[in-house]
Amino acid sequence: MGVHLKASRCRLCGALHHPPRAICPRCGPGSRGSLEEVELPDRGRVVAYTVLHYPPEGYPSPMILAVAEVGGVRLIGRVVGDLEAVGEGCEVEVVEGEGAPYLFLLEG
Amino acid sequence: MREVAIVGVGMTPFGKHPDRSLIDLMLEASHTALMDAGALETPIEAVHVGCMASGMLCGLENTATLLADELGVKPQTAERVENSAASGGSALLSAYLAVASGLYDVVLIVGGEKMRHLPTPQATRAIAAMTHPEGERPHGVTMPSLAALLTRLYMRRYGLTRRQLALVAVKNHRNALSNPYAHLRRAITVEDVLSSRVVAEPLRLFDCSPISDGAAALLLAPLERALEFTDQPVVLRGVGQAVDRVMMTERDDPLTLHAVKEAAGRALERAGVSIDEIDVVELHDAFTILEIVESEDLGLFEKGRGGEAVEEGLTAIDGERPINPSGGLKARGHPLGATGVAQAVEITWQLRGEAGGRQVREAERGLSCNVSGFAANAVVIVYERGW
Ligand SMILES: [Zn+2]
Repeated sequence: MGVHLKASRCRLCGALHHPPRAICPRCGPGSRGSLEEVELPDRGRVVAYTVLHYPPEGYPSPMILAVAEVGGVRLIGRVVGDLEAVGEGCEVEVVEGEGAPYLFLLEG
Repeated sequence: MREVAIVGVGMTPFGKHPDRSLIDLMLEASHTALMDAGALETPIEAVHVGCMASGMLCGLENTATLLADELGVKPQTAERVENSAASGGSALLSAYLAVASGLYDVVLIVGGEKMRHLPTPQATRAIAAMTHPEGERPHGVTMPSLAALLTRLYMRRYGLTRRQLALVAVKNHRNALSNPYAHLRRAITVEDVLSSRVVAEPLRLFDCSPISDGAAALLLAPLERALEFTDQPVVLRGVGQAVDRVMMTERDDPLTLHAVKEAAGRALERAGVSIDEIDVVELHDAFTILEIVESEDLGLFEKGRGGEAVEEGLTAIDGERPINPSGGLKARGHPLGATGVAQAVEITWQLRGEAGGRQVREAERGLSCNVSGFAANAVVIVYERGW
């Protein structure tokens, strides 16, 4: 089940941010109050990934961390599912995760 | 602004110091710097400590005042500066400002960290505290994983090879062989790097700087008083600092470290010199990829050329652009808060001609680059012989 993450969009410059922000870093302190909440799509595409063999305590080893482009925002997150299939350019579904704000699910 | 000079330096060996406290390490580095400057009887007006995480790592705060107390000095100012892995560089910068402004004359800077007593997962967690608290850390992001992602992107765009990356570690280990203060004093080969265990693909253990204990110290004075302490003062000719977005994913182009580029531009401009006039560079190679990317963003090589430069030997001690003659973070070691100060110590030795087997020939001008977070903040300093 895909989730639609809440992001913020700056009404002054159009920039999207995740995690959502109160102030747009492009526009500066004057943009406070000019950001609106938007939902991101539940699908994205892997830009780069790494297989982490020494993750922090409490995380599976090995684990895959990826940067994915989701509706115009680059997000970093853990990849779950068919790990063999991971590659740059492959499509992932943004899903709810245990102990993480979201996960990237890879369907084989 | 007055001209400011380094008039004394000291450091502990970097590595494992299981039986010594953080303050003890800082004390040794400080005392050595005071002796080097012949300043054991000189009133010290300020003590600036660079230390990232004494609380998390050692359960200790109030480090600067405690150090002053233990060292037997009674400065007007004693404070700690935290700028994650650039805490040392930032402590040097704030001390520089105090002397340049005329507020104080004689100021001690000490960078130090003690990390080895913790099991690696705990030390890794303390280091990962510099990542973004919402956007990165809850996902298990560590510094090596960010370096690995940067490496992937860089390899794809510029065709950097795994071998070129390994050569950074090989060079820095070779340099450290003649550095008695280095943590890892052991020659390694490309094959050693490529057969070391995978940390975060494509990075292996030998692509990463070690977890180290250690401290380094500097004594600053106005140039007009420097000859009271030394006949070889090293002038801080230009300083520059810059910040970038904390999260690599939020940067327009993550393959350019804008903090490094802008800080270097500012430091060189204030020094009134170009990067081509710099004889020796100490930069922040927490991971092999960072030496390559930073060398480009400092202006030493064109973007995308850093890997070839290493392969061609340009960055070796006897190359055209010597980088990290000390062994860098990779082989000298990386006690977080100590690193920026140790870079200044190394440049001082290089300019004085005291670097022994790792001496860069006729080094008259040097530059250091210390970064914090994942290069979200950088401190660059240009040094010049003051004699
Ligand atoms: Zn904006």
